[in-house]
Amino acid sequence: MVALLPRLRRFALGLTGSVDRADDLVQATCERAIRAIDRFVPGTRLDSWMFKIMQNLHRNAIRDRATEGGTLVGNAPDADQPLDGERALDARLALTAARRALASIDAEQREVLLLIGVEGFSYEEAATILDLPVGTVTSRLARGRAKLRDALELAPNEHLAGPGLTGGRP
Amino acid sequence: MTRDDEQREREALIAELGATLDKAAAPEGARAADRQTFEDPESLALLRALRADEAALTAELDRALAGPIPERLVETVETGFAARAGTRGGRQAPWWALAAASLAFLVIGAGGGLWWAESRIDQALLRFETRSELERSVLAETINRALETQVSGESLDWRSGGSMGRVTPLRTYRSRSGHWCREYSRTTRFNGEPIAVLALACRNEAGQWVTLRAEPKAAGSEL
Repeated sequence: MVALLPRLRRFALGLTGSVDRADDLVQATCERAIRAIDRFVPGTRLDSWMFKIMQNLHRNAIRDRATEGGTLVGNAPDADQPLDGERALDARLALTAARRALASIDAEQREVLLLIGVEGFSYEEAATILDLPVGTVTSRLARGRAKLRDALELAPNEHLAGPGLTGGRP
Repeated sequence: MTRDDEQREREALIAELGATLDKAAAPEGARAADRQTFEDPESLALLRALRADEAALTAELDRALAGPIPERLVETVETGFAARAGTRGGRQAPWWALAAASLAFLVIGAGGGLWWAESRIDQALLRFETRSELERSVLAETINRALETQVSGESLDWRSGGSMGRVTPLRTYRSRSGHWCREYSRTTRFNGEPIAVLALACRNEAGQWVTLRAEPKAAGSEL
């Protein structure tokens, strides 16, 4: 479990946006995992199991904050998300372009993007972790990637060779 | 084309590109689109951009977390497990000290010779319950797994060759020496009548469950 800490922290940082809150989330995840270790099925992946626990804790935490209520259920792809506490915090800290871009993505797309794009889980594994059908994972991933691309394209310190490379933009 | 349409089309393209981006991670069917993508320079550029985005994101997250992992996290994991297993502070002890500590509890009110005899009984029973070395190792592995992972009352089944069996933890308690011990039943059936054994095992520091007492019980109730 200790060996998983770096990856758990990275996922938590992606979810929460701040290192302190990420570490709180990792700690809570480890505590819960240890308490529930009886329910871990040997031979299955410990990392998937722990990511799932973290994911649930994070969702519950967001729900408990009660400010986001409706945004967790259903898809509202083009609706502007309200500025929540996480994003306000991000705005205060001088975040690097990609992390700022990540924070601008809807929570439900962000989690998929992090699991597959950053952590390298397969679509099926991500679907299991998130309790979603694979189709939903695929579409959220595409939507999240599109938003990440948009946000980074507009970012001043462009990490790519130059603008005009991407197709299909107005 | 409205902006919405355009957005949707772009997402569809990105979903397609995802199949290339995520390689084997993407579902089988999605990979068919690969070839087409590579013939279109715009798509190819987008693909590169997406890949670069995720690499940049990963790098930035890693950079933010550079440096040692906070002590409190490592501690949470280590003390958490130690508290569960009741082995805190015992990790550096030599094996014979651990064995002695186990024995101290294991043979409450009796001498070490009794434990030795018990373990011989267990060995004899195991040989009776299984017909081959392979079956014996499958059973031993199942016992360890059941005691490590199952709550009391929930069993694990095993099957090897023509034999099958079930291991069920029954009761859990902590020994005076701080070890976790569990009573369990194991039932084996091959061809004929089932053989049922009631046993007690305790967990050593290596995470292995050592069966310390085993006795046959009235058969037929378990499987």
